[in-house]
Amino acid sequence: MTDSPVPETPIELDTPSVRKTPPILRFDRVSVRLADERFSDVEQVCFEIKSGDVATIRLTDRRDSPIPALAIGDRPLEVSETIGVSGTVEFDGRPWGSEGHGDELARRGQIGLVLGQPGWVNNLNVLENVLLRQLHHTQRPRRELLMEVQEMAYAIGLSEVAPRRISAMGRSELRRCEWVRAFLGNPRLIVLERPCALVEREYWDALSSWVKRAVGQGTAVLWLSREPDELNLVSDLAKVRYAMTDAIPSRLEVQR
Amino acid sequence: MSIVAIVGLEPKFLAIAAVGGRCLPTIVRHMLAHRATHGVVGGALRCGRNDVVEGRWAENSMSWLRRFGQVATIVGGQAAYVVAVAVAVLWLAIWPSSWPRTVRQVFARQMLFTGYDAIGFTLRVAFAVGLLVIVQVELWLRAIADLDFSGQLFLRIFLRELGPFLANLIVIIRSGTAIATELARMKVDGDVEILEAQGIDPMNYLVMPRVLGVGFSVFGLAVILVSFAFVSGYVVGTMIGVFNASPYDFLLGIMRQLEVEDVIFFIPKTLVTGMLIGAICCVTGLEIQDRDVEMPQVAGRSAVLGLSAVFFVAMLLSLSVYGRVLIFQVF
Repeated sequence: MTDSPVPETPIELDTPSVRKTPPILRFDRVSVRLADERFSDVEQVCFEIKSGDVATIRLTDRRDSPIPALAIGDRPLEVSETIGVSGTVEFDGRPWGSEGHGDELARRGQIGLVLGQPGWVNNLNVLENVLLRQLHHTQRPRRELLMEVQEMAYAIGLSEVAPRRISAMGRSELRRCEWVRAFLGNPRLIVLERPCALVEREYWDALSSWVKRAVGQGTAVLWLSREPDELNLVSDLAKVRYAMTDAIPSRLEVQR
Repeated sequence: MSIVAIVGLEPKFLAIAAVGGRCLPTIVRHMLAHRATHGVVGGALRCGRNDVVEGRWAENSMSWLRRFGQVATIVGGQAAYVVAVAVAVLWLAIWPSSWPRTVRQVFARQMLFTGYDAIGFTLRVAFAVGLLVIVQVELWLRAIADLDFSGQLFLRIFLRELGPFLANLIVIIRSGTAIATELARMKVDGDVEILEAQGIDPMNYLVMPRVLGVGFSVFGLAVILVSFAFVSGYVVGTMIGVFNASPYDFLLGIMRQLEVEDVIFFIPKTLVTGMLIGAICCVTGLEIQDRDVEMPQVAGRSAVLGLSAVFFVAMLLSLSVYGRVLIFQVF
């Protein structure tokens, strides 16, 4: 595998099958410079992920990446927080920001997330947090969701996803519960940002098997991590692999 | 120190100099040019005249007016924002799509916490208020031999004013401050962003069920409070010999005095003020920026603003329904 420089024109993905459906996620010449120094800048980011594809991005900057938030059409694109923004991010063929607020939120409900910083709603218990997205956006019976949650919990070494306070759970347990939350309900897109952080090595294979199952059901997966070991879990699945360089502005390099 | 030295320790000139502290340079100039006493008074007068001549008096008056205008603009803007939130909640609430099961659950929890859990305390307050007010009114009316007035008085005191006010107060104290604090903590902890990242609208999930829950709870609690106040007042009054009428006659006396305006008055004074309290508490909580500085203030600020809204709406309703403000007939 050798690194190659980023071409000036958008990359044409080298996927085995040519599909007519629009990609599930598409970054088109996205450049963002943020006022918040906790986030790295990005410049001329171009990639797309279609149904059943996995894309990995190796982060080399120690700062957080804005790509997960950009992928879900979230805050870094708000003008008040950015110094400069250009380009388009499309989900399911439609750019973020092109529809009404309610429609965009409904679309965001089809995305499973494991973010770099653990994110829990503190006035709900762990089980309510895990079920919240599915209960809010679907009509699936609660019992059915609970059964699925239980099955997933067993697979990653949890006896159950307990209705306990967030503060009563260990960091590894909470992180694995985030996996359950992200994969629950077969979402269209799953964004994983350093999902194996704080989790014991013995559970990593379970996560990779979940990714394999999800892509088999047509889900697109975007996996970002600083750890090569983590990304190697899905190396046989990833259609396209990228690395973020250290230089500012950061650019994606295609690794083939 | 310098003033004391200049005016020679005479209090009245100290007072003039203190009030006209701004005029001190002019006073000093006159002190140097004239005799001491004349210098101080003359200096102050001249300072004032200078203000007029040089337009400073007009400028100072304008600066007060400007400040008043700024405050009025800010307060008016805040009030308009709260009303806008309440109206937005009503608009959202009429659409079935705004009520997924997660939102219904939040609404149910809010009704439970704000309404149902407050019934015990409301009954205790109603008992005490009923006892105190009804018995006192009856005793005094006996003294002026105008017992026919009692039903009217009970109704006006409880249904129009005391009942809605106490229900609002109970909700502000028990629930309003808790709502503001809870939402403030969610804001600073990033919980609101977590909800948005999962495609959940904070307005729909956090604000709407709370505003409606508080509104309906105030209405329900006010009904309970007024009803129980009448019952408790009658029971105790009968026991101590203040009332001689049968329960049926007592109730009939009350109902005879009931007017359409009383019902018109009661609903907005409970439902509308309750919703405004809910909106104020939600807005106050979600506006927080700095956890360390603002968090301790959130509960108190929401309570004060909530009470202000209750009084303001009561005044508006009195004007529009009865044409009165307090005892003054306006139209």
